[in-house]
Amino acid sequence: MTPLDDKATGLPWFKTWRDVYIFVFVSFAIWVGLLVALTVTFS
Amino acid sequence: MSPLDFLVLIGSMVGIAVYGMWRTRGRQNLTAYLKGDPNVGWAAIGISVMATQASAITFISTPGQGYQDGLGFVQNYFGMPLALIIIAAVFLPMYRRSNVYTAYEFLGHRFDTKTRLLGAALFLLQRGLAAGITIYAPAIILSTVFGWRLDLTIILSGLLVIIYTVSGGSEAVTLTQKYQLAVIFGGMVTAFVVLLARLPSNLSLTDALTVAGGFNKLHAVDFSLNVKQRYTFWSGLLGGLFLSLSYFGTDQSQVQRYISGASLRESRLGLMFNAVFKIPMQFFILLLGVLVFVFYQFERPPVFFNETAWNLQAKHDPGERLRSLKQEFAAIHAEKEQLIHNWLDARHAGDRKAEAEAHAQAQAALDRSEAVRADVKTALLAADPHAKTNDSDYVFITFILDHLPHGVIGLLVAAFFAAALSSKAAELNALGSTTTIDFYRHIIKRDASDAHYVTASKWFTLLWGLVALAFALFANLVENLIQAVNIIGSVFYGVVLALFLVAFFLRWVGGTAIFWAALAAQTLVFVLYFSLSISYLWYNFIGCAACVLFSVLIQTALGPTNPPAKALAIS
Repeated sequence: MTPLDDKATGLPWFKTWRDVYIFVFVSFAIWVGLLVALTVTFS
Repeated sequence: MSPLDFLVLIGSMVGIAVYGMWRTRGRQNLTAYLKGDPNVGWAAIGISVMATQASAITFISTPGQGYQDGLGFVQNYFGMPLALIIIAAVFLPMYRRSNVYTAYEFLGHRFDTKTRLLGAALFLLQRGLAAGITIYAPAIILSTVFGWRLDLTIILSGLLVIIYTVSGGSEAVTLTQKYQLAVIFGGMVTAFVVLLARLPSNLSLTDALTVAGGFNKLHAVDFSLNVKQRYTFWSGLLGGLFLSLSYFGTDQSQVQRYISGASLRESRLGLMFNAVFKIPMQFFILLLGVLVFVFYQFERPPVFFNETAWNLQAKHDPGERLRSLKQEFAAIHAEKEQLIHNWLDARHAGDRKAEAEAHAQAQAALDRSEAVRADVKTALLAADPHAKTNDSDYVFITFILDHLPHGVIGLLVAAFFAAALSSKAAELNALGSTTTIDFYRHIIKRDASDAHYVTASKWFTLLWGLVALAFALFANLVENLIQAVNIIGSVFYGVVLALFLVAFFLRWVGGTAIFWAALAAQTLVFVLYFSLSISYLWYNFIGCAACVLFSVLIQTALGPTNPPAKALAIS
């Protein structure tokens, strides 16, 4: 494993792993938000 | 099932297994056999991790859970994305840097042999018991519904997975999981589409969601701090984080799936794939169950979904109690259906007052029909004190059999078996690998050839497969077996996770301190388990916290130890 392998994601929009983790976290937050909206709308 | 259904079922299951064996035939390289294809990409890793976790019970029982309790169960997965981020950032680089075959081999590098063997033994004990359930649980449901012989269902599905897992090792597992997951998703999406098409033609999707929400099935997120509430945002976030860290980070059946990637990048992206898609997937499966609930508001469901058990008791119903309850249920259902139409008509007309009234009346009718179902369960229990009265596992399979066309039925049953085989194969693969690497190669026979260890691994995988089969065949002798296995898991998982957390984050704690701390913490968990009456889930936390605390105290008493090898330190 090279240092490059450790740091580069090879993804077009997310250059660092930190960016990838933030994206995953934001996706999670969006899903929770949508589920809350579903709960509120149809309760 | 029709001949077409059997053709789809047997063709897809045997076809995938034979393809996996053919593609991986003649492998004698230990790394390829235990870790899989060294060039495997992130998509295959992500699919493999997902297929390993999703067992047949996920696809048979979860829609039933949605039908019964709504979407709330999705909160159980809220901790998983965070856990996978931690594993990708911390656990995974450590495993890859130390170039291990098993997670417990890493403990040997970081601590010492006794800690490695302790971790491996705890895994074998826990996973070895659970492996029987992976085959037994779907077999008991499918054999009950279809009238198949339970022992033959267990043996045939068990032998199929043993043959291709022994033959092709980790590479065959990953390869077959790809196609098995395609069958699973193909089946579930088809069921979803057919279900939407079978809803009443005058019922829009918004109407369907209104009915579901009005009957409290869309309450997906609950922020209450009530600890007695089974599924809340907080218990899902904290408990789910803890359980996912244990399962994905330290259980060899999962670790083996992602340490095999072509690079750290591929393994990380495979984990992130699961972090992004697992919650939507569980939501989709639960929503399927919720829509089955809506469907059965307009189509009379059986009063008790395990119809085989119902028919058995109905034959000996001297007071005709069951028949009268069935008639009462049918009458309430017809009344409820009309009330739901009134409710939706009032909603469409914009008459809020009439809508609220009709909704309240429909809710009262639903409560009455649920009361009749409770009476049915009481009557079944009175007739047979050993009768299983929880019928939610039979909801989805009943819907499939009664309302889906032939061919699709075969596809769905194939999906259930695909899920059982994919998780079972990963478990057997991990049990065989751990026995070979952590016990046989480390203690019994060092420095043999790759071919020798591949052969040994095949024998150990076969042995574990036969143990699991035997356990599945005699599983019905043990009362409430699935819960028993969950309890065993919770009793051990906390201490296993603590071994790894100390390895990663407390570099000054050495092997002797963590070993004795683990034994002391495990003993404490056993003592508490037999003396307290708290939920068994708490033992995950207690075991982990106690082990970490004890290791710190013991190391402090022992004095400084040599730091671990630099390669294992967190950079």
